Amino acid sequence: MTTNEAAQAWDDLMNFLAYEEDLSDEDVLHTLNQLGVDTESFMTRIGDTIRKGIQANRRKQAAEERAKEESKLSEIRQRVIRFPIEAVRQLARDAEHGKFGVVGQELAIACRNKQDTEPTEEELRALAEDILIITEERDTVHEGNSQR
Amino acid sequence: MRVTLKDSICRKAANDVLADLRVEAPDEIDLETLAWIGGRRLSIVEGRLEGAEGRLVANKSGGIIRIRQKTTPIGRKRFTIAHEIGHRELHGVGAYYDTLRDLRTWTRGSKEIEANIFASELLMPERLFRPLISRKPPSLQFIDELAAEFRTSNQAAAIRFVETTSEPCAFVVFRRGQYEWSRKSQCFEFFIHDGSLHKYTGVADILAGKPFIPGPARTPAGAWLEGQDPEGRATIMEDTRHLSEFDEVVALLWVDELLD
Repeated sequence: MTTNEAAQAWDDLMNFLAYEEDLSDEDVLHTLNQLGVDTESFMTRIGDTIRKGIQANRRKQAAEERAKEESKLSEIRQRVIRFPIEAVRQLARDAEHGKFGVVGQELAIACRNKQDTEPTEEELRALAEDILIITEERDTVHEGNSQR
Repeated sequence: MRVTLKDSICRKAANDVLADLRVEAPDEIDLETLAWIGGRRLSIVEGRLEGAEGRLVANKSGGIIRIRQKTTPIGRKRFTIAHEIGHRELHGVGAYYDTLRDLRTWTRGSKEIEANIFASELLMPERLFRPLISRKPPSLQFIDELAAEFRTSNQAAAIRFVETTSEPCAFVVFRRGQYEWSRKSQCFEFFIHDGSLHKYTGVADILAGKPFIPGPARTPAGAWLEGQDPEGRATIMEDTRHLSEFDEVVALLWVDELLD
């Protein structure tokens, strides 16, 4: 289809849509075909455009929510950095004994049992961070904030 | 004994996650967004994890996926992230700590393989993967190309390939010189020798340190398959590779001529 033909088909489509509100879907498709509109590729294109629009919105919303979350996670990270290492070890031990709930306990025990080597100081701090994030932040800040 | 989830349940769960973002192309599989939307609220953090490839800690309000920074290339990172999303979707809230072994094991009957099946479908949905696999004859090189296109690990792509192809194919893994496991395509009707490795196979050459030319090669069918004569004229194709990082040798086998 040349550019002129495409422009003509577009004009015909717009004119048609502006004046023929009472036709059935089948009649609309039939008439559009007669006007030179490739309805199949047109519908695919429209569907794709809508789908990508929905994707972009979801990505944007998720990125904004994650950015807000990140500032809260950062606060916990800063707090854990200031802990003496012995306090970090104690936190991991307390987690194993259930002080930070079932999920915190599962994480601390899984890390201990499945790791072949002694965790580094950095790993212990990351563990402490994740335990605090899951027990402090998630329980208090986001309860009931689910999209599903 | 724990009742394991059927493959179809794991795959459906992955497609439900993809539907949250209306994914219709490999480059639209945005794991950071998929981990967050649909009420999952999982943040992905990289680094400060040495003893595992990845871990998930999640409650009903959200959670953290932490992955090992040294994990490269990107395909392996993405497979780890997809595996952790799989734990959240299939096994619920809790803590999961996944080693390289967990992510490279495909023997049935564990939460790890369920999460692997989920990850495979999330990164290589059948409806997007199947149309591409008949473009070329089977080979590890072609599987590498598919892995790159879907940004996943080569091993995951190999397994997905044999699960999906209509060619009689098998993917066989040897670890530390011993047969570990294999996956066969539906139409691969043969039994693979899993006890002793025949000297005519490419895998035996690699393990013996013999000079080896990479790429597909003809191998006597009986060297690999039960009921076939290793000294007979029938052959199959074998493409073998040494993965020194994992202490593994893998072989892609396919039957391209009629066997008795």
